[in-house]
This record gives sequence, C-alpha cells and structure tokens, in this order.
Amino acid sequence: MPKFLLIFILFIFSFSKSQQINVILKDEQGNSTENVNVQLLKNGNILEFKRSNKEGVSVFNISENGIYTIKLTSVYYKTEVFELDTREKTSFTFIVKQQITEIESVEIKSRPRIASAKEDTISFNIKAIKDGTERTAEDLIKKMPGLSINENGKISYNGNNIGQVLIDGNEFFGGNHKMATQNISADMLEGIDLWQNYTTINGNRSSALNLKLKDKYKGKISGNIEGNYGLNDNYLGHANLFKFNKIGNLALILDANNIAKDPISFMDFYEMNTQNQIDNASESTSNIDVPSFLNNDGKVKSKDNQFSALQFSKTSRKYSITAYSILNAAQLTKANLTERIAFQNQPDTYNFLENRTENNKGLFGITQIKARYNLSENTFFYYNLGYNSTNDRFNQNTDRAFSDVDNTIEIKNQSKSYHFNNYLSFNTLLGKNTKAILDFSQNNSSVNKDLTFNSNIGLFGNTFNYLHQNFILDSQQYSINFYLKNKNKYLNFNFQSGFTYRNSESVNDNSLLNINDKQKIDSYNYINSINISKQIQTWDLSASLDWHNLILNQENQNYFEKKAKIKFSPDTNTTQEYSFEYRDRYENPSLILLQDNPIFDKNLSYSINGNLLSNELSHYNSYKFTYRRFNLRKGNNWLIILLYDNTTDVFTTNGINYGTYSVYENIFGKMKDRWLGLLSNETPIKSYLSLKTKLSAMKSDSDNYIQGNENKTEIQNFEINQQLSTNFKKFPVQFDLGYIYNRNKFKQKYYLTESSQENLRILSGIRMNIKKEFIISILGEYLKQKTAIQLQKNFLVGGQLSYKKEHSNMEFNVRFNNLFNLNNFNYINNRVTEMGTEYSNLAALNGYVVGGMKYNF
Amino acid sequence: MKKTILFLFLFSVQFMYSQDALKVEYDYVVKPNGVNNSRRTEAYQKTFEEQAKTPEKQVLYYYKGDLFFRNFEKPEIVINGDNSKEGNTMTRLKERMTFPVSRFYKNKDDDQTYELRTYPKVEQFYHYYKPTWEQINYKNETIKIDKFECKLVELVQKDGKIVKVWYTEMLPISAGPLGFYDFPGLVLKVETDSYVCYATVINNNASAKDIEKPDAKLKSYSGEDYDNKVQEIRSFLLNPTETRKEIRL
Repeated sequence: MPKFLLIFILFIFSFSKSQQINVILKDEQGNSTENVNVQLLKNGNILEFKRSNKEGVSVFNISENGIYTIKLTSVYYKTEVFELDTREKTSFTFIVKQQITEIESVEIKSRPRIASAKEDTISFNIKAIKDGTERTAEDLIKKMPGLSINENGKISYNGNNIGQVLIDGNEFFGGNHKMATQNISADMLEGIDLWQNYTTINGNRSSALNLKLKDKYKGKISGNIEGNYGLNDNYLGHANLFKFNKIGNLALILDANNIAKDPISFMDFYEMNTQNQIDNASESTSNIDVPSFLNNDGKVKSKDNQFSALQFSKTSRKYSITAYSILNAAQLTKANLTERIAFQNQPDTYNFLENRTENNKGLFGITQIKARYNLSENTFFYYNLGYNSTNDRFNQNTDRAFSDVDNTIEIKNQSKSYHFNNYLSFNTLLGKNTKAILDFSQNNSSVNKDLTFNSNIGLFGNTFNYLHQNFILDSQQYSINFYLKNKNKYLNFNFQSGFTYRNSESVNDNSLLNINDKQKIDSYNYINSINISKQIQTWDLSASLDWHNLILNQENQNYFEKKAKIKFSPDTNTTQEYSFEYRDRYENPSLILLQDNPIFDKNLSYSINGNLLSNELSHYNSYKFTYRRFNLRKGNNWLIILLYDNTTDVFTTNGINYGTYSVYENIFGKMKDRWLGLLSNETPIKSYLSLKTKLSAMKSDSDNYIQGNENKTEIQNFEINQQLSTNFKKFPVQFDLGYIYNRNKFKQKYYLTESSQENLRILSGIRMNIKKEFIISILGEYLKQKTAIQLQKNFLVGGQLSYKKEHSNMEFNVRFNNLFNLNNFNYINNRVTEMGTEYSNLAALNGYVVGGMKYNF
Repeated sequence: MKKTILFLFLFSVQFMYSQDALKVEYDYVVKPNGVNNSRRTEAYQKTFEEQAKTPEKQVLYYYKGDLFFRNFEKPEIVINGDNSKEGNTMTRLKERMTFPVSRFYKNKDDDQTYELRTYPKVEQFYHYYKPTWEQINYKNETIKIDKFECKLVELVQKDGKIVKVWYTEMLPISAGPLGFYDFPGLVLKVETDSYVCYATVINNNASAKDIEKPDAKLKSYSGEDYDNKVQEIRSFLLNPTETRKEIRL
C-alpha cells in the first residue's frame, strides 16, 4: 500500500511537472536576454504570451504535451520561430540573434474607420480624410463617403438632402448650408457627425450635419478678414467673425466682390423664406418670387455683390433661440445674341436676330427669428417670425432685326415685394406615446410690379410705341391646425385637422389699354389627414390619406390626396435600402394664370387666361424607386433612383407667334409626364484612389398648343460624370481627373422640329500642400460645346494659391478664374421653343486674377 | 579612421538607446451612451454629450522597460440647476462634472502596476495591481492601422464584457495605454463598450525624465483593501452635493 501511494504521488508530481515548460533565451555571446516577447503557439494560434525575465527565462503552463511553436520578438533581436516537443523535455534553450528594429516617427492619420455608425448617428473621421489641401468645411465634406454638395451648395447624404447644418449643435442660418460650409475653415473642425434623427427647434424630425469645433475656437472671437484686388479692377473682400460660447453662437459675415461670387443662391433664398411645416402635413411652400438678380446661372457678363449676414443662436434647457438677418445688394449685366428661326409654315418675316443687354440692380433683406420655450420636459411653445423685402430693378435693351424692320425696345421693370409671417405652435406630450400640436399661422405678402416698354415701332400689335403696366398682387393667409401623433406597439398613427383661409387679390392697371382689372380669390380649405406607419422586421410601411374640402369663391370641392411608401432594409453587413414611394396631389390655378386681361412680360410676350376656371384641379401622380447601398468600412456607396411623374389636366399654354411679340394663352392640357433616372457610385479603387461616377437621364413630355394646334414638347437630357481623385496619405500632392458629358435635346412634335446640344468637359486638377505652408489648387478644363450649326472650344483654368507660414495668422492668396479668357468669353445655347428654333450666344463672365491677404484670428 | 570608428560607435550606442524609448500619443473617445448618466439631470447629460464629442489626448512614455501613461487634466464643469422654493428657503441643485485623471506607472522589474485613482475633493490614492482578465483570447483577425498590421486579442472581464485590443508585432515593444500593456507588441487601439482609444502619433522622443514615479506621499491599496476603499468612497459619493442659500424675503 505505501508503495502504491508513493507511485501515485510520483505520478501526480510528474503530471504536474509535465504541464510547465521553461523557455531560456541567450544571445550569441551566451548572455541571458531579458524583456524579449515570447509567444507560445499551437497550430498557429497564440496560447500564451510572456516576457523573458532577467535570467532570460519564460515559464508557460500547458494543458497537454505535444508539439508547440515558440515565437520570439524584440526590438533588439531578430524575430525567430522555433518548434518544441514537450513530450521529449520541458526546458528549452534558444539563441537569439541581434537585429535592431528601428522605430520611426509615425503620425497615424488613418483612424479606425472613415465613418462609424452608432444608432442614428454617423460620425465621420476628419483625420482619416484630411490631407491639408482643404480650405473650408466644404472641401472636407466633399471627401466624406456618401456626402456630396451640389452646385447650389446643398449637402446631400446618399441622394437625400440634409435638413440642417449645425455648428456644435446650434443652428446656423437655417437651411442655408453654404453659410456654414464656405465660411467655417477646415482647420476649425474637430469632427463631423450626421444626425439622422435630429429634432429641430420646432420639434420636427430632420437630418442634420453637425460640424464640431476644436476647443481653441470656443469662447473667443475667431474668424478671418480678407482683401483681394487684381486685373481689370476686380476685387474681393470677405470677413467672417464668430464667437461660439456659452452665451450663444454669434456670427457676422461680410462680403463685397465684383467677380460674381454669390454668397447665397436662389435656392438658399427660397428655402430661407420657407416656413417649416409640421411633418406629415402638406409640403413646405413659399409664395415669394425669387429676385431675378439672384438667378445667376454663371451666364452673366458682370456681377457685383455687397452682402452682410448676422446670426445668433442659443440653446438652454429652458429655451432655444435662433435668429438671423441678411442684406444683399447686387448689380449685374447680361448680354446675349439670339437668332430665332420660326417654324416652317410661319412667315420668314418672323425670323429675327436679337441683341439683348440686361442691366439689373437689386436689394433684398431677410430676417428670421425662431424661438422655443420649454414649459416642461414634454411641453413647449415654438414661435417663428419671418420678414422679407425685395427691390428688383431690371432694365433691358433689345434690338430685334427682322427682314423687314429693325425693332429697338427699352424695357424697365421694377418689382417691389414684401412678405411677413408669424407662426406659433403649442406642443405637448399626452402620456408616454402621444404628442399633440396646435398651431396658428399668419402670412401677408405683397408684390408690386411696374413694367414700361419704349419702342421705335408699335408694341404688341398696336400703334402706340409706349406701354406701362402696374400689376399688384396682395395676399393674406390665416390657418389653424391640430395634430395628434401616437406611437404604440402596433403602429404609428398621425392625425391632422385644420383650416386655412386665403385671400388673394390682384390689380392689373394699364391706362393705355384702358385696363383696370381687379380679380380676387377667397379660399377656405378644411383639411383632415391620417397617416399610418408600421415597421415589420426589415420592412417599413407608411400610408397617408388627406381629405380636402375646398371652397373657392363659394364653389365647393372635395378631393383626396394619397401617399404611400414601402421601404425594405435587409439585414446585411452593408447598409442597404430599397424603397418605393407613391404620391398624388391636386392643385388649383394661381391668380396669375387666371388673369382675364393681358399680363405683359419683359420677354416681349403677354399671357392671358384662355379657358381656366379657378375651381378646376390639376392632378399630379408620382412614383419613385430608390436603392441605396453604403459600406461604412470601405466608404463604397451606390445610389439608384428611378422616378416617374405624371400630371393630368395640366395647366399649359397655347403659344402664338406674332413676329415682334408672342402671346401665351393659359389653358387646360391633357397631360405632362417625366422620367428621371439617377445612378451614383463612389468606389475606392485603391487606398489612395477613388472613383466617383454619376449618371443621370431625364425625359419630359408635356402637352401644349402652338397656334391652336395640339403639340407635345419633349425635352431629353443625359449626363455622365466620372472623376478619379487621389488621396495619398504621405504625399502632399493630390490629383483629380474626370469628364462630364452632357446632351440636351428639345423637340416640338407638331412641327417635327428638334435641336440638340452636346457639352463635353474634360477636367484635370491638382491640389498641393507644400511643407504645410503652400496650398495650391488648380483646375484645368477643356470645354467643347456643339450644336447642329455651332461649335465652340475653350480652355478654362481656375484655381487658388495660398501661402501661410505655420503658426502664422497671415495668409497670402492669389485667386484666378478662366485665365485664358480675361476679356471675352461666350457660351452657346441651342433650343426649340414653342416660337421656333433659337441659337444663342451668351456673354459669360470674363476671367479674373486677384491677389490679396487674409488674416485669421 | 579612428575618429570615424569612434563616431560610428557613439552613433550606434545612441541608436541603441533610442530603441529603448517610445512616446505614443493616443486619442480617447467616449462612445455615445457609453456612460450611464440616467440618474443625472438632462442638463448634465447634454453637457456630458457635448464634452464626449471631442477626443481626449493621452500619452504613453516607455523608457528602458518602464512605462508611464497619462491624460491631461480638464477643469471641472459646474452645472447649475433651477431654483426651487420651499417656504422661505431657496434650493438649487448644483452638479459637478469632473474628468477622471488617468495615470499608470509600471516599473520593468515589477510585475504589478500603480494606477492613480482620483476622487475629486475626496481622496487620491494608488491601486497597485496586476491587470487580469477572466480569459485572454488571441484572435486570428487583423486590421491595418496606417502601415501597421495589428492583431486582435479579446479580453473577457469579470462581468463578461469584452475588451478588444489591437497590437502590432511590427513594433515588438510590450506597451500600451491604460492597463493594456502586456501583449507581444505595441497596443495601437483599445475598444470597450464605453470608449475607444487609438494611437495617433508614434515616435521615440522619450527619456528617463518623462517616466514619472508614483507619489510616495499617497497611499497604495491592493486586493481586498482596494475593494473596501472603493466601496467606502462610493457610499460617500452617492448623495449629490446640495448648495443651500437662505434668502430672506
């Protein structure tokens, strides 16, 4: 028995000893080597890690005997891999060979991910993308996967427009994205977050792009002031002053230039004057005419701007306030030469060569104040005041050379308008899942237009050479709405009930034609609306039904409007979404379309109501399919949109050509339809190279009349845009190479007449950051424009050179545009209208070179 | 010739030394909802979210096997609540947001590490311990951080939560941020439920002077003593500070 016990003890002892192995390391001189990383592996998998001690020993515990691998790593010794068999012995000695691993200084620009998603927030990693060639926030945003900025400065994410751009969570000039993206410098930003479920100041849900500032720009006055002057007396002055702190965010932006650099676009103007509606209610609308001087499509001969904007926003637990005021004056000139060839069966005397110059001076001011007062955590008041005033002075000289007569006309058009609105809502949570909103709104607007013609021959088929028209359109609108929104475990349910009264009155005064016509529309619109939505696993379903009871000048109408949406988001590693939307709505003709007497227009035409009645409705249907795919990790994304919309009982025109002038009768047409397709893709080809592709196609058919004959106007547009951009991490030079091919086609089917125009742009750009002091960006463009009878080729070179010594506040700039066309530059434009085929040559902005200094603080 | 040899020798000695020095800067980002502030007021939560948006800079010094890791102090933020009135007494809840101080000291010859624990206006002491985990699972998964191939190791904590650590054998120095230093290469990224910490700059600008030593005046606790100490402080901190001012009406 004692023998048995001894054997048992020895067995246990030997077993426990067999679980431990010693690894002894020595260098080539036989000295012990300490601090070497020793990994024990089996079948390629790391089991344990130790560091050798002063004696060069590492001890491992193993669960079973067998063949193991030892991997040795160290900054002083060569990486070695040895095999050891623990069935043979338990102590192993290895010789390590000296080899020094050099540690270089490395700045890790790449971050864990380009973008990361957490719940409804996507955080973009600026450091992963920034290479030092970016000047403004806009330059950074353009590089972020899925985000893009269109020509009007609007930011979209995977094809969906972003609602707000915020600075550290605070609103900044409402829906005007450019104010933030073009005035906040790239260096001021620490990060960018996309909030997909942002609650706006009025309690709506929207998406928002939050620009996060570096700490050093908080709590002090920061910004920059810049002055530039150059050839042909061109100048650009710009100043940004910001103070972002606990008292609130304050921003002042000033600009003056004569290089047609528009601080805000006509889209911004439209959106800044659009009152935010409660979601699920009718579309946001604005009744304000966009001033003609804002409509800068790049085809101006000259344009001067003077601009100032002031913004304040502050958010606290009790209240939020955001207010801004903008003042913009502009002076612009346009010039174009147009040859119009009337349709075949019309007299040759209707053909003309027109030389037109436009001189336009304008001024507008916008003030918006939005405030929210929280009565409790779940109850708040929201108030919005908006005021806009515009003065638009338009002068036009038109010389039309017909085969039998030369017609010279001077046209003056002055338009003054103002718009004033108040909006108040009371929002409260009833219980846990129900939200109730009661809102009141009031809108007043007035437009006063004076139009004067002076001609060397009789105007509009009459004998008089002078014509003056005064047209006034006033409207008042009052509405009250109640909304109930409930979210329960079965579905989301929204209900709206409301009433809108609108009074519109027009006065058309034309003493020469003995016209003094007053027209009026009183409308009472009662709306009841239901919206139901439900998420079933990866499916989102929603549907809305709106019932309208509309009384227009005592005529009663009832109609239903419908909306439905199905969205499928499969549960995959990449974010994917398929959605289908359907919508139908009705529209009454506006008071302008209903005018029983001629309304003259500066384009030497007049419009008049043909057969429209105020209570008749146009019916609009729209079908939209969208596919989105976004790989956050790789930054690869796809967007496909197919849209078809169709309008029946459309408000259209019967166009009649009288040679020296034309007439448009507003009448009912059968239908108008439109197909639109968009494909957008962004693919990183290599870690340093990405390809952006955008392909769009549009086809629109609309029924109208020419000289009383049924006609169909068809417009086709196709565009493909591909751009390769580098993103070298360690190389301070980046390249862009791409092309844009665009083809437009216009057809008038009754006369079987068509025209087309092709534009090809080949773009090549270089962006450099030399020693963190010079930033150079140059974009060269070859532009070829071609029509059936015209061909125009141009080289355009533009860019900016900046020098800023590191840690210096002073920056030196040279900006240039269209360098090879400093004195003369034209675009061509070719189209078939209801009056004939027009070949136009438009004077475009000449090139410029300006240089100056910018002081950052 | 002799001068050249001497120069090369001195140069190589200098070079040898430089391999024993490492400075790594890290960005530390608190994840949204990574910290439970549900017992705090809305104003506190909002301020916390704002603060969490900016990555915190942290730095690791390594010199001849010794480690020192630290963050940079941020002043506390005082969030004043609304006044509430009871009789003639006006009460206002004042919340203080403090930012943890991170200090880790690890001597080459010591198996354990000193971690500075700071409870503002209460006490400072060291936790002296060896970081341990329920499981250490070396994974085959790799990611590339800049030019560095990084391997993943998953650490299972006592509460079952997993910490993901990425280290690179291309820099075979056993060092890393916070308590994550015991791996076969430099740790470039650590991710937990509540934060991400990732390397931004690596160089060898470290010297003996950068390796701070634990303050001898402060007490050290380990094992059960430490657990008891933490429990004692927690119970002290459970009640928020109230500032009462009597305003005679």
